[in-house]
Amino acid sequence: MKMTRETDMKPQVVTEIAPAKLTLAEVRARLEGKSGKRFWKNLDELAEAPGFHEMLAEEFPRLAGGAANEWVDAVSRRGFLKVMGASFALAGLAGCTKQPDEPIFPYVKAPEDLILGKPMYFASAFPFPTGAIPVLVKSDAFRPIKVDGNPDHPMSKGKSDVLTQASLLDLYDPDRSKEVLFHGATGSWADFQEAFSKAAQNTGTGDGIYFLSETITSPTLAAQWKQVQVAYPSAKLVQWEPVNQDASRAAS
Amino acid sequence: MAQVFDRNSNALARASLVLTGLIVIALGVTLDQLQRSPWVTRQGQRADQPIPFSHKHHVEGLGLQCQYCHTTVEVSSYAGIPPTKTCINCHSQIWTNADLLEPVRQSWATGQSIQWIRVHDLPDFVYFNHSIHVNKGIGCASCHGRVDEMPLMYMENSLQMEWCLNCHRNPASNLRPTAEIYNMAWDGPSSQKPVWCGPTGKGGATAGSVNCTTKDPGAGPEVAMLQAAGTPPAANGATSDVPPMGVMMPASYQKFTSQMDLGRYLTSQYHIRPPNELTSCETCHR
Repeated sequence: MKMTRETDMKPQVVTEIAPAKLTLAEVRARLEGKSGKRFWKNLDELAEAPGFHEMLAEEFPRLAGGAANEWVDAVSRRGFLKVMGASFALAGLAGCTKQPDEPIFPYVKAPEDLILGKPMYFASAFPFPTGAIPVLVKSDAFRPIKVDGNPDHPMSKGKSDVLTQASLLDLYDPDRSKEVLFHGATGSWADFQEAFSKAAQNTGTGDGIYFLSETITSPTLAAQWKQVQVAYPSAKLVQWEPVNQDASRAAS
Repeated sequence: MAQVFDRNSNALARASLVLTGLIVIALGVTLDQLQRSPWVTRQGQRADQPIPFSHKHHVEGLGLQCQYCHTTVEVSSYAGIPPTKTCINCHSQIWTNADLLEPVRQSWATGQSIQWIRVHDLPDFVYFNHSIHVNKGIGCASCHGRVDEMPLMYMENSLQMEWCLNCHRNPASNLRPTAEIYNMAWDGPSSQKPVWCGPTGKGGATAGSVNCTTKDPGAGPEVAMLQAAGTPPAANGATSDVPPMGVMMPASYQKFTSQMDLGRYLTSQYHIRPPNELTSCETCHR
């Protein structure tokens, strides 16, 4: 009983009613003796089906879900427009105030070659499944801001492709892990070294050690992997590339 | 029925119409003046800095050159704020226990920056480049005022757009020889203190294309010495056996007795762009 009373308290939102069923005789009976301008849109209205007038009260009966009722929902369409309109007007006013104080944080010891306001260029390489791509990285105060082909390199002569250009975003990828993770908890490289060397030694020949990586084209990493193979012959290197050329190789 | 409004109401109605107009105008004038007031621009205000650094003491008193601290003013858009290391260069030797310098020692010991408050703060939508101004004949004091006479740093000019445009419309009124850029007391040529300028005949950077002197290059035996001093020996090293061009043609030197004459001459010598390009929106709003 208590439950029903609580639901009674809430404003009812009617979005749909059971369609009225009238026979022709019943329609005639309803219209009996009526004349002049009296319009009805559908049978529901004529039959005065329960809940019909509540449904009409809704602005958009078909769109109004239970929670989207203008009077119940905290942010209705009209309310949203009202608040946003006021916000935009006030944002214009905010432009008329004075600037806040801006702090300057100078270096304690300035890097020797740095000229603030002028970009610095670093030659680097973008590792790619088909081999490293020579790049020139433009950086502002040691923060990379543009990756382009290295014009001094005979292979690309300053040209690059979309993936090289977009590799700049990888440098600022928020999903990139910034520290060593162990079971989701942060650790240090020293912890990792200690734990890993102990675990690796326990396996003897490296049985059960798996390294996961992308396609490696780096000669340095390849040499390191050879050293690992000598020390732990059973260790495995598993490579996976989200977008690779396996399909085209399989097809040819 | 009696009159609701008596005869005085006519005058009141007219007065209220006039008054409404006056109030609207007064409001406009007030807002306009408010935007230009030091309360908004912070012109002339001494910010509450962590160290009461005196430019007067270091520049006028000790004779430090601007670039000793503001190292990148000639090569970059940003003049540069000195790192703590620059302070420590001297203050590891002198005033090592001064209370005022505690934040410097703190910064040096902890590696944390000294947190200054920016005095000359352009809005972020304005692009300003120090190097182009300094290399084309606008002196420090033209914008920053007599910094060598400021015990505490403040903003001499409003740095508002109308102030920028005043000069961009007519750069000749502020141009000076590039040798006088860091001269805080420079106040243009006059009939009492004329300036002689002539082309050096050297290519390369704008700053080296004109030589100016405050002594008459056509008078007396010191001409040759002046001319030789006018051309730096480093740039001249390869052709030291050839006499400098200036000695050969002292006649090419022109005498200037007014700022506008000198400004117009330097405008053409320094290849300053015409006002319609200098006042173009994208010059500062890129």
